[in-house]
Amino acid sequence: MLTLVQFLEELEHAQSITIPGEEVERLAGMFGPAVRNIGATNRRAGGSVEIPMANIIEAVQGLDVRALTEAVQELKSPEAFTSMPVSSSAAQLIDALAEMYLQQFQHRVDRYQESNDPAEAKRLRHEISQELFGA
Amino acid sequence: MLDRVRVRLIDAEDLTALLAWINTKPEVPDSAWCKDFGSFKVGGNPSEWKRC
Repeated sequence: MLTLVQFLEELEHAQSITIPGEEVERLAGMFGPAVRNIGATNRRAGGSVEIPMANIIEAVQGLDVRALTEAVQELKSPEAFTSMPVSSSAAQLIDALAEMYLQQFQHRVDRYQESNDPAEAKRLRHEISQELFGA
Repeated sequence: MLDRVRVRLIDAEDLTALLAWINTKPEVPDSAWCKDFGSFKVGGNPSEWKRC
């Protein structure tokens, strides 16, 4: 079991988690293709998806303990289901993550349009291009 | 395309809709096709578009 300090250190070091492409495809088979919107897709690395840790924490906070337990069980035992009901706890978690990611992307585009700083605009353009086209 | 985004010819919300659509790995036909995102359209073989 982790101590509080160890847990906080884990959070500090892991700014994001990356879901391998195969796992993303497995989840897409259960929850539909919108699963691929839960984070930034790395199109050059087999379709892996990177999710900011802060998003996961916020999405989990939106569930009560019972729903979180259900979501974990649903995600751990996909073999029992051919497709997951949209009302399932895991589906709610995925919806929350997808909504957050897309809002953050749109905010980045808004910032790209508003920025008067050429260096910031260049950086944002690169990030947006990466997320859209992988280049 | 991102030049047009920068000067707001393409709307941020519409570009986000494009990202969400691309991420779903949509299947598109080999023949002419197009999809309207509001402030822009994407498609294949645009010279053959009859209506989009």
